[in-house]
Amino acid sequence: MSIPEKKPEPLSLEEEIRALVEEGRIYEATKLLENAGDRASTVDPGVREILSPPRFKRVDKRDFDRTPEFNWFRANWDTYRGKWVAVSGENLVACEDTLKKLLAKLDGRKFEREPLLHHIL
Amino acid sequence: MIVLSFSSGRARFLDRHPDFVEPTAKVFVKVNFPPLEKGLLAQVDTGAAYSILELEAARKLGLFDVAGHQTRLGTRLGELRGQLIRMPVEILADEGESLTIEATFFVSGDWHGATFLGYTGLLDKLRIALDSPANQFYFGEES
Repeated sequence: MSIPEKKPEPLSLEEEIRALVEEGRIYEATKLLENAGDRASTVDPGVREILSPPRFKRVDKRDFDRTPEFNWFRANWDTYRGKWVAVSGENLVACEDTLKKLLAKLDGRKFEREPLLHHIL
Repeated sequence: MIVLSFSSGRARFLDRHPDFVEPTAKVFVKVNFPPLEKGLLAQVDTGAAYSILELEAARKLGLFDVAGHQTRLGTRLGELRGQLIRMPVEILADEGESLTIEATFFVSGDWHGATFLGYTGLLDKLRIALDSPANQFYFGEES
């Protein structure tokens, strides 16, 4: 007498989505969730959150026109490759190996134009 | 004259051309990652599947202490393990209004590249346009 093979339990929607995320198949996970209808509510809210469309909010806030800073970057990119830099106008105001050190160097300093930060790679 | 309310803000962008050391052109726009409150440059990359936050910014924001969702990402440098984390990013305007976007970023201790604003889950829901001769980046939310 043969023993009947036990069929594996089908994955729940959440398990299926988690497996896709784990494998880096984010687009497929997003589509699966979008097409799940009412079943989507059975999926953990944290998982739903990372797969949900972005949310937008306008903010009444403006930065400077950074043309002078961009001129500095164009002129100095290769010289400072690998560094974290802070540039205000056409001036380099700080340069460090890490963002943490750069922020520490800027801490407490006042600028007419807040520096623009970048890791030059 | 046709007036289209296509975008809510615009800002100058920094471009890097192939005539420099890099083999490809790049477009950088100004962003802020609250609560950092510093203007940083992020690369706009419609070819990048996801948005990626550079390692040190992620560290500074304490994102490695946050429980995200484990995933993997194939890059030109090989496959990386990391987490997906929902977080706000502000695109900073010179004119009009800046835009805060709550979006999902890939964060990995093994990623040593730049910050990317990628296509899936961010640019695919954002209206963007480049006025390249004027180096102007236009942006706005979908209506």
